[in-house]
This record gives sequence, structure tokens and C-alpha cells, in this order.
Amino acid sequence: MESMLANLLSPMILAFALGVGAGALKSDLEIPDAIAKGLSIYLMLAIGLKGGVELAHAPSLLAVLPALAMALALSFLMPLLAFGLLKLMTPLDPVNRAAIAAHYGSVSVVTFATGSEFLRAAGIAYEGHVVAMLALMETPAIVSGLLLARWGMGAAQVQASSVVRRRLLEPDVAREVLLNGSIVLLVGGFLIGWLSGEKGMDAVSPFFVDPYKGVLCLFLLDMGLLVSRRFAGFRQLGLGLVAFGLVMPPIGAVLGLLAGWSLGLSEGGTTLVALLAASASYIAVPAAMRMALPKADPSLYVSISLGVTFPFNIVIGVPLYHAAARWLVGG
Amino acid sequence: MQTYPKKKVEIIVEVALAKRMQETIEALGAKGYTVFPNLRGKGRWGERAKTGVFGVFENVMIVVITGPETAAKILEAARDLTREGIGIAYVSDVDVLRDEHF
Repeated sequence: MESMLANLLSPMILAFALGVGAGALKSDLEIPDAIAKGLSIYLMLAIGLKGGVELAHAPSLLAVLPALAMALALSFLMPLLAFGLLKLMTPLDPVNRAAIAAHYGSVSVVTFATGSEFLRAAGIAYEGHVVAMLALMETPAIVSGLLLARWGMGAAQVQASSVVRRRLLEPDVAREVLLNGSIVLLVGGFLIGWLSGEKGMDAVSPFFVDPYKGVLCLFLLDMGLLVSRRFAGFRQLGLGLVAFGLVMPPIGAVLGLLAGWSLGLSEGGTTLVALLAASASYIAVPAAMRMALPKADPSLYVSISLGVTFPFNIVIGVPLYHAAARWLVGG
Repeated sequence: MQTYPKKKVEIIVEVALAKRMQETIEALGAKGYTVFPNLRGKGRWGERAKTGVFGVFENVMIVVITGPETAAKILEAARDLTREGIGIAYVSDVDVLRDEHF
């Protein structure tokens, strides 16, 4: 398909490939941490702003509520599916499965950014409230994962744990989950965009709109480096888990496509909801999981979500889900 | 010069659990602590190092100098925490110059 080829040749994906290549060839190329963090702040705010401005055009706030409810439901329920699938496909214990499952109910903002750029390059619009769905989908999956872990551990093991025994959401986990930097920037940016509207956006567009693609390239370059360096190799993860990392995104995408269709979203909106459902978090959820489920091995969930699912989604997933959305919802 | 014997507890712990450990140390009555950030190493959980925007592969070290009873309680708390999370804890004897400071 030409759109898949066009995606592969976009500067963003090529930057990602450059990062993977440089890391694999053991170059010492390094994007300083502070800069990577700065790029991430820029992206979150820019995405939030754009979403908020789009929503300012929307007819009414009430029309958006079903979509928001759908977002919460998807985020909360997908880990259940992932948990079961992991049981079928891997020999992992319940705690690890729950931690990994939580990642797949949550979302990857960078995957979303890449997808929305793909749509923009093709001249396809999308509804602003999809960004609100993005923000809402970050968190419920974490709660779902914790509940699954408790259920999977059984009463005796929960009592024996000095960490899990405590309330479901300790204050520090809750703070991490609800007030972490990404959420604050996304929701905050959204509110700013919505309140300041088109005029406000024009004022800041030389900063938040024009350089956006370039910043995304740099960020993806860093992601590529991370993927090739941190991601030790398929053997370490086990074939079953790698297969899960490739199979769960399309399954999530199907759920997302159905959700977009049932909400009456446009082709662009449906594509993005599919992408949200297919993506796996690798920044916010790992930190929450370390605090709440320390027994789960971080090299499993970070590697699978960053090393397998993320590249799959941005290289193959985006054009694939878009083609499916176009077929389902029409042009 | 007069010195006073105290116990030094060193806890190398993953960053996700560090705050909890710090709060416990204060709650148990230690007068202070020091945190060394961005530690790197390798162990049972594989390689540990500050990695990009993740917080999940980084270790820190918390050093507490205090009396023997408090040190024992801190060690017990550290043992509970590191039983599930990533970290080690150990204690040694030190001599300090100001008895009332620790």
C-alpha cells in the first residue's frame, strides 16, 4: 500500500530508524536527558493545545460525553483482555501479567503524535475531543491492572505483601497516576486551547505548530536510540510475550475502530481512537507499576511496550488502522 | 578528641520506592538522611541505570546515621521493602563528632 510506504519514508519514521540504527551500531549518540524531557513537555502541551482549540469549534460539550465515557471504559476493560491473553500466550505469573496488561489499556502519547501527524500530512481532519479521550485513557488501566494483580495473587499472598496489602491506591501512587507531568500538560494544554480558542492558537502557532514535526523527529530519534539500547533482545522476553506484543495492538485497534464507529467519529477520529486502543504506555504506567507492584519485572513491561509494540504501531499500525478506519467509516 | 559510636545504614533502592523509604526513616525518628541519586549497577534484576525519561531503571542510595535502636528499625523497614522491590540494605559502625546531632 502506498500509504504504508509514504509512512515509512516520512521524516519521523526515518528519524526513529536512524535512532535504532545508531544504537544498534553502538554509536555514542546521546540526546541529553534534559532535552528529551523538554521535547516531551513541548509535545504534550502542543497536543493538548491543538485538541482544545478543535473542541472550541465543536457544537456542545454534552455531545462529547459519550466519547469520554467510552475512553474510560476502553482503558479500564482492555487490561482484562490483555491479562487473559497473556495467560494463554505466556508462562508469566499473575503479578507480571497484570502489570503488562495495565500498559495495554493505557496509551502512548508519542504514538498518538505520530499518528496525528500522519493524518495531518494526508489532509485528514480529526475531532478535537479525541485528545481528551487520550488524557482520560492514561489512568483507568492502572487501576484495572492493580485490581487484576490482587485478584490474581489471591488473599494469602496479598496479606503477605508489605506493599500490595495496603489500600488499592496509596497516596503516592495516586498522585503519580492522576497528577503526573504528562496528564497535567495534556489536560492543562487542552483547557488552555479550549479557553483561548482560535485567536490564542494563532498567537502561539509559530512555536507550537510550525516546529512540531521537527520536534517529533528529534523525539523519535531518541526513542529509536532507547529501543535499540534498552531492548535487550527477543530471547530474553520469550516468544510468547513477543507474540503478545504484536498481537494485542491489532486486537486493541479493532476495539478502538468499533468504538469510533459507534460514536460516529470521522475517518481521522476513528483512526486515532484505534491507535489509542492499540498503543501501550511506557512512561507513566511503568513508574506507577514500580510503586504499586514492585514484584513485577520492569524489564518485561518496558521492553515489550517500548521494544515491540511501539515500533509496530508507528511503522505498520498507523497506516493499517487508517485503512481499516477508512473502510469502516467511509471517506 | 571525643567521638561517639553510631550506626550507619545504607539503603540502595529503586527510585520508585525511595520516597516511601525516606518517609519511613523520618517517621522512625532519624534526625536526617542523605540521598545519592542516579546510581548505576547490575544485580539480580539485571542492569540498572538512569534511562531516558523512565524512572524505573534508576537506583538511589539513602544514607542514615543514627543510634542502634533506630538503625535496627530502619533495617527492618528496608528489609520489608526490598523483599518485593529492588534494593539492598546494610549497616556499619561509624564514629561521629556530635552525639546529639544524630
